Amino acid sequence: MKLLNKTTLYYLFFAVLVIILSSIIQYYLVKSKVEKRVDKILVKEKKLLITQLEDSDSSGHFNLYKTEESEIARTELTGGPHDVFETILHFDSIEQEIMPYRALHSIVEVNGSFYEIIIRKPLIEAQAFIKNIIVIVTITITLLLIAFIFLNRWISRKLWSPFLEILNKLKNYDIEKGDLVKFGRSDVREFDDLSQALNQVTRKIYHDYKNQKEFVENASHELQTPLAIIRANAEMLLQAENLHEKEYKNIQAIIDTLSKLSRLNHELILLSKIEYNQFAEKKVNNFSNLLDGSFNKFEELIKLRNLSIEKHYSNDIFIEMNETLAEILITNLVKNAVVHNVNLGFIEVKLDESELIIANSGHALGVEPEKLFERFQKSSRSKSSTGLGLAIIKQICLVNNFNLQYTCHNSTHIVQVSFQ
Amino acid sequence: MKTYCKSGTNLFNSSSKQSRVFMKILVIEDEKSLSRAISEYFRKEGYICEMAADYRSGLDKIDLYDYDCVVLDLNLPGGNGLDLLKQLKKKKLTAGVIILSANDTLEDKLTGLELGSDDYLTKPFHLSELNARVKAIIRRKKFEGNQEIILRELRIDLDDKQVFVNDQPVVLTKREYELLLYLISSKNRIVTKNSISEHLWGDYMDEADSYDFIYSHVKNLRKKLLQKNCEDYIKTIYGIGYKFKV
Repeated sequence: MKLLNKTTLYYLFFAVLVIILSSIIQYYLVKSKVEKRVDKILVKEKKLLITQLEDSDSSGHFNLYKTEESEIARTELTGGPHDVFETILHFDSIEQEIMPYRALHSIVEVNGSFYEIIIRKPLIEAQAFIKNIIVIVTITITLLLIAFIFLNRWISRKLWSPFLEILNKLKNYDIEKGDLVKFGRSDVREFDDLSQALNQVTRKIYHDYKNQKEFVENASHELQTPLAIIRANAEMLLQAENLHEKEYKNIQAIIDTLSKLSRLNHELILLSKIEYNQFAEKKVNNFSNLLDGSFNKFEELIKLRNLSIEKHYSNDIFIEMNETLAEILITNLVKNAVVHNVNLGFIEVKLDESELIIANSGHALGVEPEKLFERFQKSSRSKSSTGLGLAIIKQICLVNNFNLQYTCHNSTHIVQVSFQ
Repeated sequence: MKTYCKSGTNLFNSSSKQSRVFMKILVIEDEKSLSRAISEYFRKEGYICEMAADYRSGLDKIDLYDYDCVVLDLNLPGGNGLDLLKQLKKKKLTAGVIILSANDTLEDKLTGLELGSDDYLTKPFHLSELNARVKAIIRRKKFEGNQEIILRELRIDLDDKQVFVNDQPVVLTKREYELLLYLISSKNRIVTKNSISEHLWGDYMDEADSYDFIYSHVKNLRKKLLQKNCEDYIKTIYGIGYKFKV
């Protein structure tokens, strides 16, 4: 959730709470104020009535007096004057309804006799009054709070815009594009600090990345040329006359090892380049054709080992990725299936838009399947294998977000590459 | 010069005229030990081979002399090999160019070919491979029309990819044909199994796996040639490789 909306939500929650609480408090406050006022009026009325009583009782014939608003009755009850105020419901004969009243119930002594006095005043006006006040005040508070929330949103937006700008620049930062991004200054201290720190970090990343990339590019040249020199001179040596078998063997050893070194170097550089995303350009590749082509390349080995090949795919499966990597991926996968196979073994290939599965017979694994994907792990007897083939496959899958799985059941090896 | 065989014709037989008897190669490479090995090999082949060690001297030599083929390293001191290539093409020189480079990226290869080079070879390479490619370039550049290699009783039609022994056709598989051509290109030189492996299968087959094939291809090739009464020119050298000996 966006920060702005989250804070707004908190404010809203707070606002609603305040509105509810304030309404409740208002209600009780106003109600008690109103009741007190009415009670004062009731007391005044009572005093008035008592005075009237005192005046009229001299005749001694006063038993009952009753109007809508007051009742006086002689009573046998004794006891001191005590006033009881309460809100009651009373049937109003004029309105023909039961309505709320505030009543004062009192027992007074006048001229030696005890009288029970009930004075009541209708509350309906008062209650309407209360309601109006509460509505007005609540609306006012609500409006104030809404205005406050909007103001807050506006202020927040303004304050956070430099931060959002920084965030945007970060999101669009592409290290491979090779530009150095610069984060601007701000008059908000924290954002300014953030900018400075980010500038430092990105500058360092940029330089480190460039250095690594150049290192990879230079290593290629630096290593290949000496290797070329050794090979050329070793081959010249071979052409010398009067060489004995022993010397041929020595030179052969040099040339063989050189070949392996050369291949190792080449593959390590390839791995680094893939990691540094130097194969970024994507194209639509016909994987069916690539597979067919790879099997053609290895047809001699396939025939030699009497391998049976089963292909389950149509001829138009296209996958988008870098062209060079696509070829390397397919070639390596097929190569592994062919080279690490047994005589009279089989290879089964299934390919569709979502995945590529290659299953082949072979030898039992000496190590766990996952370990084979690390560099230089080999399970096979092949001495000239560099041990990097699977690592390269893994790296290619990684940069393309393909899911790679390798399982081995009873000497059947299954490699599964999921494209989605 | 050993490239001339009994019938008296040049190894490069053609119907068009040649201006020179000896092929002239220029090697532009800054690593002296490498360029020396290359030129030594070419000289033993019977070429005239000159060397240049940087951009400037390479350019000078091209201006002054005519070459049939230029072997050009891309990483030169004093300038980029590709710029030199552009210069070559600007001067409309007819020399073939093969690029040597430590990089084997697709873009570099394509750029090189787009700029007009005839071939591209990555370091490290086999001398016999470089030799075969230079010969192919010179053949293409200098001789239009029927291209053939005639060596004693052998005749190879390069256009139709047919092999004849005493004018009798020999049926060879694609691999056997390429193997024969490769061996003849480096005749009287030892060609290692490594270089044959790389020539026939590139770098996608481990060499150890390919040695069995090389053995069987050589065996079959020999058999087929002998069946047509060709002399056995292919010699096995102590498990290292083979030599086409005439």
